[in-house]
Amino acid sequence: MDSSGWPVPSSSQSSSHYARHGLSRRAFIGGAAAAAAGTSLGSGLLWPAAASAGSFSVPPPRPSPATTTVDGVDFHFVDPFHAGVDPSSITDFKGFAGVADVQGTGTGRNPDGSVETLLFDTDMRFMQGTYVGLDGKVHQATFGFV
Amino acid sequence: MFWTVPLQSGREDDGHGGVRVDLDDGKARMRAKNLRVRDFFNIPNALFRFQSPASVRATVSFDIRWLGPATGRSAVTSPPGSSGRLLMSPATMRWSAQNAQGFSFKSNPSGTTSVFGQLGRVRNGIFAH
Repeated sequence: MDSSGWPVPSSSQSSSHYARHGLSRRAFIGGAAAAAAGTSLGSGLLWPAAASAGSFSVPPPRPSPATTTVDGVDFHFVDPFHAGVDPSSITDFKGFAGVADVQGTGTGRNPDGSVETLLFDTDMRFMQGTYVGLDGKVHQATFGFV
Repeated sequence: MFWTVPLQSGREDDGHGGVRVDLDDGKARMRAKNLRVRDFFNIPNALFRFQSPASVRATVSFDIRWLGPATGRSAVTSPPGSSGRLLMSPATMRWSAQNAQGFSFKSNPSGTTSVFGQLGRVRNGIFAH
């Protein structure tokens, strides 16, 4: 999960606030250089929705023009973890929006049957309301940044 | 679109998911059940897709609650082109997922830590003003 999260082995937990957040999607985006330089990403999972126009069950919205650059590539989202920041990943939108960064633990079960305790740290968002789609028409829907 | 998928609008109670918002109380709930996604294994690969296979089929279920109380009400100040009002509200989350390779994950129900939670009404693009 936009995703919903990103479980990592609990053994990678550190008392360092930065280290713990260094494994989150949010911190990775903000600190891509550190991550690319070798920060352990563990055996964690990421569950980003692979959204393309063809995969939408409703008329696709327009991506936010606001971008975050990682290794020279622009991605259409913003760091939403500040008061007053519109967390929407779509534009030409009006309605409710929300964002949650939640941390916790859970149990991962591997294909070989082994089980391990994992940490997760999420960046989950929603947008519910009216938007102008790529088709130029006005629609209503709910989207998740998962 | 970047990590953005449609959820069923206003049907949070039907077991498949959706979003329900109560800004007066600073509360909201976002749910999905067996939402089909792709598992890219890690964030670098999700962004640049250098692994092979780059991703596998997966499903995820989640239940996120913004519990209130509403605090820190503020105007939207960024990004440029956005306006609206937001409030801070702590969140909890339960979730599970499984991918086509046989890996599964289930969050611990004993508790989570809300690092950041924010809700509100926003307008952007052609609706900004």
